[in-house]
Amino acid sequence: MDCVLKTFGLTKKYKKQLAVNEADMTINRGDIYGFVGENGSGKTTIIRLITGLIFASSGSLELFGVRNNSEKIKEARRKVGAVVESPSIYQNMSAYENLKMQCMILGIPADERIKETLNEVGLGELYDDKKQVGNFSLGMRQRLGIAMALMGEPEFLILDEPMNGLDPAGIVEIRELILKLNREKNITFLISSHILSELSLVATKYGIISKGHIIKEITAGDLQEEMRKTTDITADNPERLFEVVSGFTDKKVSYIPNGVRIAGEINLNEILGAVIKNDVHIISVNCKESSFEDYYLETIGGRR
Amino acid sequence: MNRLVKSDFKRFFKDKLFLVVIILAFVFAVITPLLYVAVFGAMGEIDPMTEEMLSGYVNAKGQFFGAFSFGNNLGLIAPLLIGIILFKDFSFGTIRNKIISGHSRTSIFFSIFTVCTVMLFGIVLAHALLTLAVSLPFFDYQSTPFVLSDFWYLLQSLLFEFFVYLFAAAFMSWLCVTQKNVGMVIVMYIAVVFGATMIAGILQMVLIVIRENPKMENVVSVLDFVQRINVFNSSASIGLGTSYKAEDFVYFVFVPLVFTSGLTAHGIWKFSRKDLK
Repeated sequence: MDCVLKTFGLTKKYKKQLAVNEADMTINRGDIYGFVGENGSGKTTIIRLITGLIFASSGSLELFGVRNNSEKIKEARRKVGAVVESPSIYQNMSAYENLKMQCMILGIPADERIKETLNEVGLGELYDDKKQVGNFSLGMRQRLGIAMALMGEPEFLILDEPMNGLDPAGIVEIRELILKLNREKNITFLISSHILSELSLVATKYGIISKGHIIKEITAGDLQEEMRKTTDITADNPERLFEVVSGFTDKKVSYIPNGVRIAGEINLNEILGAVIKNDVHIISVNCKESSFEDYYLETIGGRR
Repeated sequence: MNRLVKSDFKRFFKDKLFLVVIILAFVFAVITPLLYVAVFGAMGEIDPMTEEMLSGYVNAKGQFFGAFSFGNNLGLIAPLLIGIILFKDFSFGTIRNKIISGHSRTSIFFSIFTVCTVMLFGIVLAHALLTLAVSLPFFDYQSTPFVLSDFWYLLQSLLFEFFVYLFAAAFMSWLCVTQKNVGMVIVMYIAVVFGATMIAGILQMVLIVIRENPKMENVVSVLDFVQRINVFNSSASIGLGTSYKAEDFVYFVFVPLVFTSGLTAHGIWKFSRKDLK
């Protein structure tokens, strides 16, 4: 599969603080990569590393097959559009002027593209508007930021918390825009977001990051599979229970109070048989379907 | 890099602070000569000796070259306001667009430096020319008649001022790419300009006291040298005479160029390693 981004042990240290710790991630062409993690987990730092705003302390990355230490990385970056943290826009200029500046920086003809892009992000009415961006609502600025990132017709679009500040209608519009661009122009996306439910409506692959480390990469299909069922077993000896269950199944097993949680489809009878055979007294068994939030919390909780 | 320079000029002209600089350049150019006129008016009748002495200093030429001084009204304010405008790329975060678009940090630095040089020297030159235009109806250009050699002297002086301002633009560009916020850019610039001006003033007084002392010959040479390489003070000695010596070319061209190259090299080096938000 055509790889857009691959990172190899990417690490970023700020003095003594480890912001990103040997992060390995792979994004293939056409993916909508949902980047999930708690506040301060290192999502934005990784995005900054990818976009060349900051430099890695160690490790490397490959963008469109070009290593970050190669001279050609600048050409590869021209295929990238990004909104990092807050939209990068001139507050004292209008939406049109901002996009014209972006055209100037990119060296592309302005007018037609500006109109088209403003329409694409739902800001078509601002084409002739002289209102300064400083007076825009957060949602409008967010959309304009996306428009700026789209100006260079990127193959890979990085959106850091794109739903921030958007009203429900705005969220739906941006979601539809992402899906449309992915479908029609085959743009690959890296989207970081706290709104897991929203992310789950667009993402085709997820990267879960905690404390600067990407602890799990999973496709949407596999995630669905893993979320389908979790089985909680409590017993008088949780440690022994964990040992027995872990040895019996290749599914993810994690601790819960007084017991363990097994993620995914399992043969419960076989597992319970093995537990009883090992002299562990079962207190309760509880099978349930889990949500993305449960899965996420469990995944990062396992690391904690 | 052309695209960057074009975009930097564009954002410069769109900024309201640019209008403020233009207004200040106009206001100071009109007010300064008129203040001299008012002061002379208030002094009333003055004896011919004093008048002759004053005419050696207070003339249109003195006001024209005085307009370039970094310690003077616009000479101090213009670099600061231009620095603030250029730093907005960092405070708005729009510098990210340039880096993500694949522009090298070296190109970004040179674009800032180019715009800073053109705008700074352009505005101060326009201000100085306007000051000259307002002064001429009230004062002679100089105490002696204007001859062809004065014209060459004027052109040489402007060339020297250009190199001095090239250094000031390099310093401001260096501040923009190395400092974390606009407050630090302002504080550092003012501190360095005032520091350099104060040192020049103190050394000037020391030199007056020790210059005639034969035992202090070596100290005088060292202090003279320090005075001459103080680029922020060179505006105080450019355009004040009638001709230049060969060594003046070294001090007014070579020294600013050395400092400019040093600041540029260090600025690019530092910026190329700087983490951006």
